[in-house]
This record gives sequence, C-alpha cells and structure tokens, in this order.
Amino acid sequence: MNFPSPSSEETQLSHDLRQLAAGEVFTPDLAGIRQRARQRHRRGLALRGTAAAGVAVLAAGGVFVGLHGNGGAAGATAAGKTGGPRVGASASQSGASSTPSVMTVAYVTARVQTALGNVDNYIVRDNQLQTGPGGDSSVILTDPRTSNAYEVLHDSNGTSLAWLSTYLVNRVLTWKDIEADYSTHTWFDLVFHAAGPIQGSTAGATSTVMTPAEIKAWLHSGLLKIVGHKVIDGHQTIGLRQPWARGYRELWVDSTTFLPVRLIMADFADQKGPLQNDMVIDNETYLPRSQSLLNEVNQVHIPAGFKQVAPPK
Amino acid sequence: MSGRDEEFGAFTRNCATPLHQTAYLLCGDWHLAHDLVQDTLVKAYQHWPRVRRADSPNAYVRAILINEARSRWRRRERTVPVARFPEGCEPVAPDQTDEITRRDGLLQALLALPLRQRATIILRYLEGMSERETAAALGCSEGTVKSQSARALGNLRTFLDRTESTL
Repeated sequence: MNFPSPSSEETQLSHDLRQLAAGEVFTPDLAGIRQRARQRHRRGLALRGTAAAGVAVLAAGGVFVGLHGNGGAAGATAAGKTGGPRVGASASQSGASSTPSVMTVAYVTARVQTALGNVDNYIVRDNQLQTGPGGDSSVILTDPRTSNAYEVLHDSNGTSLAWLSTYLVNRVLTWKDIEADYSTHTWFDLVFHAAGPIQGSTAGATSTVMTPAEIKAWLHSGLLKIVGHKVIDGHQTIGLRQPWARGYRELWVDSTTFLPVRLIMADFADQKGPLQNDMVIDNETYLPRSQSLLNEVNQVHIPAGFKQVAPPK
Repeated sequence: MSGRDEEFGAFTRNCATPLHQTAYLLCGDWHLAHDLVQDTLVKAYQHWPRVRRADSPNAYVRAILINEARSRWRRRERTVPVARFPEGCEPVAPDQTDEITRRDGLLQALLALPLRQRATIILRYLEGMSERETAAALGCSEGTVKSQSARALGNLRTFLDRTESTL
C-alpha cells in the first residue's frame, strides 16, 4: 500500500511538535496508580449506595435485598442453616425454569413492592462480581439502619477491607472510608463529600438502600418488561429488565417471595471506544441481625500490626 | 506483584513519557499534563485486560487521555488552557531566526484549535499515528481524521499567518 509522503510542511510540524514537547521525562507512580484504581472502586461503591444517586443506586450491594416484608419470612425459611433467606450464588448455577409462571409486569412489580418494606430487620450480604476488564469480586455487608457498609474486596492487588459510612454535613452528602490493605499492611482514613448541598428534602439521602418511594418510582417507570424465568441457586425466579444508560439492568426476584435474588447491571456505553463499563452481578443474601454481624458492619477492626498511612489523593 | 501488574508496568514505562508529551500539547501545562496522565493510567489500569486486547493499546490509552481532557473541559474543574495574549495586544511577529519564539507561536496556535482538531494534529504529527490509529483514538472514522487534519492545518496556517510565522 502506498502512503502519500508527508509534505515539507507536515515534516516541519512533526519536528516542531517534538521539540515543543521534549525535555520532560515522566516516571509513572505505579503504586499510586494501583491505589487510586482501588480507591475509585470504593468511591463508586459509596456513590452507588446513596439514594440520591437514583438509578445508579441499584448497583449497590443489597439494594433490594433487605427491603422486604412478608416475603422475608418465606425467604428466611428457605435459607436453611444460615437462618436467613439465601438468594443467589453464582451465575453458573442458573438454569431454565421448569414451571414458568405467567405474570404481568404490573403483578410482579406490585408483589415486589409489597415484599420490600422491612429492610431494617436484616443485614444484607452481597456477593458482587464485576466481570470483564479490571474485574474484581467483593463481599459487602450493609446495615440499612446505619447506612454503614463493610466490604472485603479481592482484586489484582490482593485483599483489602473497607468500612464505609454515609452522612450529611450541612446538607452535603459525606462519605467516610476506612481501608485496610493486606498487600501493604497499611490502613488509612478518608472523608470525601459531594460537590454541593442537596436541594430540597434530604430524606433517605444517606440510605445505602433504596427508599420505598424510589423503588416505587423505578418500578413504575413504565419501561420494565418481563424477560424470562430461570432457576438461580435453587430459587425459581422471574426477571425484570429495564433499559438503562446504554445497556440494561435486570432484577431477578424469587417468584414465590418476590424478593430480589440477583441484580445485573450492564452498561455498554462507549462500546466502540474506551471505558466500556463492566457488567456487575450482585448475588444477595438476607441475614438476620446478629451482634457479630452488627460488629462487622458498624465497627472498624484494623488488623493487628497494620500501620496508618495518609489517604491517597 | 501480579502478572497483570508486571504487564501494565512494562507498558506504562514505555508509554508514559510520550503520553505526557501528548498531554502537554493538549493542555499547554506540564502540571496539568501530569494529572491527566495519572488519571489516564488509573483508568487504563482498571481496564487493563481490555486495553491489552485492543487492536492498538497505544491508541486506546490516547483515547482515554483525550476523554480525560475533554471531561475536565466540560466540568470546568480545571480549565484546559487556550491561547492567551496580553489584553489589547495582537500577536506580534516573532523573529524568524528565533526557533523558541517560533515554536511558542506554534504552541499558542495549537492551543487555539478546538480540542478535537488539536488532538488530531498531536496524534498524527507528534505521535506519528496512522489515520486508522488516530481514528481509533478519537472514536471517529478515518475520513473524519482526514477532514479534521486538513481543517486543523488550515487553522494553524491562518493563525500563524497573523504572526507572520510558518509551520
């Protein structure tokens, strides 16, 4: 293939640009890059966990999980040894439904809303898997009463622990993040906040789960459709799908209890370019509140021997 | 250190300085360029498996960089500089024998271009990317790269004509 030769003007331009940009040697801070990548993950988690984030809240661990009323008892029965309703485990265990029910969107959404109402009685455990590039896995425990969350993250750097809490300071959403990193045996304490104050009501703003009003708004958005039935971790489920960003989000609920079993968020934004978002799969478990769980979520336990360091910028 | 980290580290060590140079010509400020590159590399690290699978990882990372620059522009978080002249002053004709002044005029002209045209010029003539790679980095067609290049060169000429300089 013949390429046209650059003109003298273009050659001169290349030369001049190289001269202009010459002289500076950039040495990347690889440790800092890895740390910041992890920090972005944490911030994303915290931001997704706020009700103020609207649609994005659905990505939070246990968003729907603990929000249930009558269905909770049925779910808890199904939980077996754990004493709580266990929902979802791994995508590989999904299968085709043997007895799909015929249900309308209106019926399912009404039942889900009914089931979502008693979140405070549970601690929500969310096994979250982010697929694709940069994928990681984490276990997140959320206490709906305090809006606190505790996360154990496994990524390419190893394992880290984080305690996240969300609160308001002069109407400004604020997040506190304490992290302990097993790869460096260090920990830090970081507080960051939203760019500005919340306008209007702050009710539910710090919630790490969706408020009933938000759930209602989402379910009534008019864009939902039933996409099928399948078995997830032994639960017969029914799936709701909604267009979301440039992808979709799916909520699979137990077809008996109408409690959430799995949440999938897929955003194919910029698929032709960089930064395609990953698919996030949340498998969720309801756990009865116990002192040990409350301690895990609401109390910081820095492992012995870890040294405190300055938080990443 | 994981295999991923080693691979990313090797890639980064090779591309960091050229990326920094590109960032500098995009924004005209070495410190801001440093921030842009750091942010770019954080995202590249997060999405490393996708980056390494790309037809051109270099183009992919440039694309992230340009998106970062564009994003900052939109957020007005830290304004990407454009050409500035003392108030009330027109560009003055540089001494043609003064290479530094001439190149400074070129930088001012470059910064006066719209971001996309500026990026096109930098990728094509600093990085030496092909039209195909440039198109991949900018998320546009090769035809658009051609037209953007031609328009950008024309704008540079116009700007530099005012200063009686040349490309």
